[in-house]
Amino acid sequence: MPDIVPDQITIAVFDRMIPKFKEVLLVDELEGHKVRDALKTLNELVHHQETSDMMIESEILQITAGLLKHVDGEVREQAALLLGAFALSAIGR
Amino acid sequence: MLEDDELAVREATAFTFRRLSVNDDGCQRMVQNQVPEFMIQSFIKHSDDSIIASSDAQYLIHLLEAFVNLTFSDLGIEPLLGKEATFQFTKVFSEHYVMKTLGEHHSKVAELCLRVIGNISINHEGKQECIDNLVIEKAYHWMKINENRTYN
Repeated sequence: MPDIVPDQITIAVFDRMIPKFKEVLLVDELEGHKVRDALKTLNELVHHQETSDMMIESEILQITAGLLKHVDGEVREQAALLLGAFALSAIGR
Repeated sequence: MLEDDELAVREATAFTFRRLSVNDDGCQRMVQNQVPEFMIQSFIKHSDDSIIASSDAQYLIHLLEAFVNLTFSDLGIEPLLGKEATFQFTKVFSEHYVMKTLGEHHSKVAELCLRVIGNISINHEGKQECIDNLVIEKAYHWMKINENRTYN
């Protein structure tokens, strides 16, 4: 058993928080419910200005755009909602 | 995404376009990417009498809110011209089947349709489409005093 499980959904703290989500979302063939949970958490965090800036810097939007084609409907829904949360941000657009 | 099999995905997508249309830059990006064309196709399809469902009300409302924002300028109106958009908006606020299907949501949907048509009529060609579709005659119902009227 490796010490680090790459697809484990844990919320890191401070500056590590968003990069950790990025790593999880980039895991190949990650189970749908884990992607959905990660996106749901990001949707809860996005309303904080500093966190949303961090998401833009960490290229979460580009990764999320790719998830719009995911086979799981809930993943597609959460991805669309997350992108919608950035619609009012000039940098996000 | 606007024709996704799952309603929740369509609603989330329409919500995103609604948010994107709030400012001018977002509207321009939508027009550049032919989003209004896809939106109107989807609106016409999902408000058609053969397919309309009460569960689609929120989806239609998101789309209409986006259309209201898009049609504040000619840039956003032009993609809707010649695509039966005015015909469908008129049909939605005036025909009984929509009222029957959407129930409590119908007033909001009708109000938004009227707002979009009001915006479209500012455009010269849009005004002609409104005349061709007898919008004034059909909208008169909403000016008479009744419980659906939202102003005094």
